[in-house]
Amino acid sequence: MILATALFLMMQQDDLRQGLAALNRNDPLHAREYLEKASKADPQNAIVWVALAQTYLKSGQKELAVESVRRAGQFGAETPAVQHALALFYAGIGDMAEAAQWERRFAAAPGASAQTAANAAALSLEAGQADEAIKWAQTALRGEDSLAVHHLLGKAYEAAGQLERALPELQRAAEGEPTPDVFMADYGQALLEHRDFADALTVLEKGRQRFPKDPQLALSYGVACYAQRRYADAVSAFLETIRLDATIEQPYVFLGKITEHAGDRLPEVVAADAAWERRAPDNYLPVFLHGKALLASSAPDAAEIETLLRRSIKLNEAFWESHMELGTLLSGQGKWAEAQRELSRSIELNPGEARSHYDLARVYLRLGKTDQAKAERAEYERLSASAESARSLPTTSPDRRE
Amino acid sequence: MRATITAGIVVLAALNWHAPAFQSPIHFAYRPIPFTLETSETPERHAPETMAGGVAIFDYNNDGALDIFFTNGADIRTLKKNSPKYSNRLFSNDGKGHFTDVTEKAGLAGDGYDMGAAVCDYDNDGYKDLFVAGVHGNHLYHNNGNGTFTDVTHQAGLDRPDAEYGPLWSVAGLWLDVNNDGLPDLFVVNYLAWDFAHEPVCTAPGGRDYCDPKFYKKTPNQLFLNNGDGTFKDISAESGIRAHPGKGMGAAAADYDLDGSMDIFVPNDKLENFLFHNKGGGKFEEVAFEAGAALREDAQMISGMGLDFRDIDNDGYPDIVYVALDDETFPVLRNTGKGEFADVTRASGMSTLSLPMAGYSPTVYDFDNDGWKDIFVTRGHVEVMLPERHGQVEQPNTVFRNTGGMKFAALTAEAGLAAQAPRRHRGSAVGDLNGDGRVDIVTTAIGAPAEIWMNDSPGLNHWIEFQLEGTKSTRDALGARIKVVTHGGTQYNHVSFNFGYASSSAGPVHFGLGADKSVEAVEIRWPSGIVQELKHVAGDRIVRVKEPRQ
Repeated sequence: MILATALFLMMQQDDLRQGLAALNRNDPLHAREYLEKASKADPQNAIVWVALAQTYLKSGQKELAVESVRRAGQFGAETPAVQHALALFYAGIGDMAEAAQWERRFAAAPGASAQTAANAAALSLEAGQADEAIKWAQTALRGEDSLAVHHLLGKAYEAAGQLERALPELQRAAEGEPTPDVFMADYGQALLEHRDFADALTVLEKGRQRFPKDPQLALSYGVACYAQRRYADAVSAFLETIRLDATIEQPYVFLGKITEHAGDRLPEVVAADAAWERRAPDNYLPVFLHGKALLASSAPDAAEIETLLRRSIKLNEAFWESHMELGTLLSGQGKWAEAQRELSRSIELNPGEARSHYDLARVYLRLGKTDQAKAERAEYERLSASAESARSLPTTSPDRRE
Repeated sequence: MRATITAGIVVLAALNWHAPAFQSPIHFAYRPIPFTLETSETPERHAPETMAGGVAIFDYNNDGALDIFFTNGADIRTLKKNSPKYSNRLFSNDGKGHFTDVTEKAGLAGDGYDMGAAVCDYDNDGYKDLFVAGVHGNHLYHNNGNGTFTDVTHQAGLDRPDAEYGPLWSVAGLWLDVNNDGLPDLFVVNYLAWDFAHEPVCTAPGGRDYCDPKFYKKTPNQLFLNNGDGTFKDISAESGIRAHPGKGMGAAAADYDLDGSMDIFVPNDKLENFLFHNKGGGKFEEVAFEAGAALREDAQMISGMGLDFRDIDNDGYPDIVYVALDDETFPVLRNTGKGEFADVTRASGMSTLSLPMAGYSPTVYDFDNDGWKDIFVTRGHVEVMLPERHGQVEQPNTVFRNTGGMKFAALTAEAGLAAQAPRRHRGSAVGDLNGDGRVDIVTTAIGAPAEIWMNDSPGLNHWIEFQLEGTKSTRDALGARIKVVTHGGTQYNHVSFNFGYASSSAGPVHFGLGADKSVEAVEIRWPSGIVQELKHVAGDRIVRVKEPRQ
């Protein structure tokens, strides 16, 4: 009887071993066969259930995987290795809250390393649990004073809205050696959020010199220049971002806001928008931005721009700005009725844009609709006054002329 | 061929030949004048401290040479000139561009916080008088014809505070004959409601700064009708002007719809501009919105500053240029000839050129005598000089050369205008100070010496100037429209002395003739309705024309 039990256990362990080996060599079919046998032999073995969960996941059987992992948690909740494994599993399926919860249990075990605490902090941060992230990053920092952990703590403070505490941590991470590009980008970004534009520019400029191929640093630098109204520099930085990584959307959008400042680089802006448009022919935004960039030229081709704006509208009828630009373009050509339609639609989609009301008022005037013109002009004045008044709130700083 | 080129290079090298440097078609040489604009700048940054600086060029003693008058500030607390440094100054020109301070004898030192200088012979006695606009007090100085002036503000009825708004802050005066009765009337541009005791506090990194105009209330402009007996009647309300309070920074007059009556354009600071259409008989309607001149083409309210209002593209219809701060552009509005304006800021190249600039005073004159009027702009920001302020507060002046048909090229250092340190420039006046046929410029700057920019542009272009004398029209011929026809083309201008920022340029009407030594035909349309024609007029001189008694 004793021998039989021992043999049974050996077989069971052999199934688990063989199942894990198959899982490691990415052979979910055999892994499943061995591990299911092992689970039947020892249904309370959490390790078996964790391994099975991974196997099911690899086979695309998410429901079975989740059920397996539930059982693993049921039988191995107090086992550190299982806790860590469960954290990894949940992180893998994007359930960051559950992942963070298991990793924190793992990190709370006696003798857990600083790295484990840092992992708990990182997962908590990803789960949007900023307070937990701060707590575990502080724990990690007590065990290991590294740039990575300072960065993590800074990001945790930032996520908790404690920017004043975040900045020194991010600064320490960004100014240490060797620091990766992301630390410098994050510190610069936090300075931007803190409206400390001058320091942001300094940090990001330094970052750009050190990591000239990093698109995020170029983008953040552009944003800092934009915030500082250094539009020519912003244009250069956004164009550089596109050169480094043409798939990032933000530089195109920012360039669209400051097209008039492009100066002799306007052809590059037009070319960048056109290239994006070619890569994403079903996306209304590049088509619109392409048209808007062409509008900024000193001798715009109205027909080409009209075609682009109409195509942008076809791709996304609900984007108000395409209607507004098209309406304004048409009114410039004396096509009052069409202009009225486009501007009215723009206002339907975004009644808060003062310029649409002003342009529509001018169109109504030309159409002899004086009452409507008066009403639109009054709405323009109301919106302008309210925007001006919002800018006058004491919280806006600086108050001087801008 | 290659051998020839190589040989040529060798020869040129042996001769130590250098390619000629680019020679700007417009160029100025700096000349100092002993006047410093003192505005009593305080740490509290009271609004008027950054807004002063009117200047006038006019012949005060009828000696044929253009003289210079500067307005000056005062103690900001009392608005009184409690120190000689605040004195307004009049400099007499010897005709060669050399100036002597004659302020004391002329009696023009003033006593208040002065801003604008508006020149005109308001009583048609043949001597140009001076209206000085100021903070909570204006002055009318009558030219006695003997080198002295008398303050006649009270007798003229121009010293009364507004019944509703109290004392007003006037920035500039504009003389024009609103009802074509031959008597110059006075339009007064008022900025905003300001009171020393209630200055809003506006901060910027580094300390206090001047506040945005949104922190102050609007005030109405005024129109005073000349009674012909040395007194004026306030017709602000009945004319329709008072119904439109704003934050005016300048005014200029032109008959934009060619209906025979002078109209008025007023740029407002961060508000819609005003275009007061003259309906005749001293009645105005505000039509900026209808005429497409109320706002920039993207419907943004910008910091409208000084302006000029005259034909830039030689089509006979007066156009408008006004300036604003950095990132706002210097809008150029082309008169379509159909009672409205088209914003051609972008198409003219001005948008890109002016975006990084902050401007105060534009003047539209042909500085290289090529037959196309250019635009000179005094530059400088409103703000104090905080170290982290990127958009430079102190800036050099710039001339925008009209390369033909309203396309502009900016010339700053190329035109010699970087010869002096950048400043917070304010007013500007233009006129030929040394009789060489090239139009010179005088500019002011906050807390800094004034600058004379003598026009020493290269080229041998010809010119002609017209000094008109009205008989039935105002003696100064305000509003008279001059058409000049040469082989090179047709040009138009009109008599209007008050434009730019708070400034006056009351010299003869100037035309550049390019290669043409003479003018084929001149047509003068006097405000009285009389049309006068001259044929085959020789150039390179001032032509004096008296309105015929028809």
